[in-house]
Amino acid sequence: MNIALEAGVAIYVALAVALTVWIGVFMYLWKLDAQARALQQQLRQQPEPEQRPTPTASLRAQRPDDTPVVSGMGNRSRANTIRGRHTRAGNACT
Amino acid sequence: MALRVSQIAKLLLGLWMAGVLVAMFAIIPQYEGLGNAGRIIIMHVPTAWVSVLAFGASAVFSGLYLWRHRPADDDRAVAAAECGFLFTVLATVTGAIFSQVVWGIYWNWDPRQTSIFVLLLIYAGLFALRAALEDINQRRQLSAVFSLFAFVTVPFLIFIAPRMAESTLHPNCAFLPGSDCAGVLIEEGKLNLLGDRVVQLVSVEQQGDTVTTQVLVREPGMQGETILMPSYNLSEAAAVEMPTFPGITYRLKIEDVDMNARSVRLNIEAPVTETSDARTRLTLLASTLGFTALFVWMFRIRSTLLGVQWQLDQRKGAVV
Repeated sequence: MNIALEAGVAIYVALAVALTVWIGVFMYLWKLDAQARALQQQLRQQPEPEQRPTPTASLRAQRPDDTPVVSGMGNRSRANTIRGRHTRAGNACT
Repeated sequence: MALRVSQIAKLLLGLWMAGVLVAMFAIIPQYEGLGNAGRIIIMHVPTAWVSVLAFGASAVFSGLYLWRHRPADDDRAVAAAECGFLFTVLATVTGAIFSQVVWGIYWNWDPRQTSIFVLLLIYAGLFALRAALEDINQRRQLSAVFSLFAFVTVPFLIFIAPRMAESTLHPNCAFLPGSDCAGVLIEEGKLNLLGDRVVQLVSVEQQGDTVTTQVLVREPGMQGETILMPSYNLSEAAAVEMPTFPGITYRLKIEDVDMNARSVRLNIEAPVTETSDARTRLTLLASTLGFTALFVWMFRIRSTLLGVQWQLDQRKGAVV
């Protein structure tokens, strides 16, 4: 018969197993706790990223003689460009 | 400084729980009649208690979220609900292990097992709801409302429903000596459950002031049955003969007799020494405190991680 299962020994085997499980759980929690705090600390130290600029679009209608007729929003020097990822195609009139 | 105190507290918790384990296996005496299987109460009861505490905390933070609309409250409500779910699973598993040892089956849909299963389903529903909703504000609001309603069921499912059931094998009386258990009222020829034993009142006979009964007792797991003959004195309104259950030192006691209805109230008398009782109760208390502290620690870790995840999502622009 396995000695670990004998009456009087089995209870200590069970105790050893339970202690081993607890030590494992405790170490896991300790490590997780440290990692969570480190992450939180890192986030606090890092400056907030700048707000992503709101997508803008410029609209300019042009006559054949290159005289501007309508100027839309945005930088006039870049009036011929359409900026911003979220600009819908419908806004882009050239 | 605060960090150092926190680290020391966590180390103390580790040692405390290790001490509880040592006491559970090596210091407290065996439960009479249950052998070493009874030791599992040191894990089972505190985990069930902590699950109630955790679900309560989840409901409180859910209420706070609905009031203040702070994402941190939602994180805390979720963290508490997750911890509560985990501790409920632990209580269920430890209960099932006890059930296997004592009743010979892991799961028999006892009212206590059924009610805890329903509770697990309700909180699993909360997590499913959160996973199903993509809009974060909607997810937070609906889950906060769900959590509040879910907590309303907790006292009913943990404390009331199992006690309302007329037959449960959950050994409230047999386990807690001195607990205020009312016993069971049983009519002649009928069956009932007393702690973890099935009892049948075979006969009731009156001779003068003394009522003598024959009670058939079936052992847990239906492994054997014995006829016991407890008796009762009507004029003194007191038990006379209190025979012991087979194989254990608990005694079967008549608490009341109604000769018109030919029924008696049977109960368990648990002769446990004061010393052993005190050690068991102290260990149970220490375990409850330890598990409560463990819950607080796990809750803080999880809510911190959820908060970090929320901040990262915000920075990535994933959350609008």
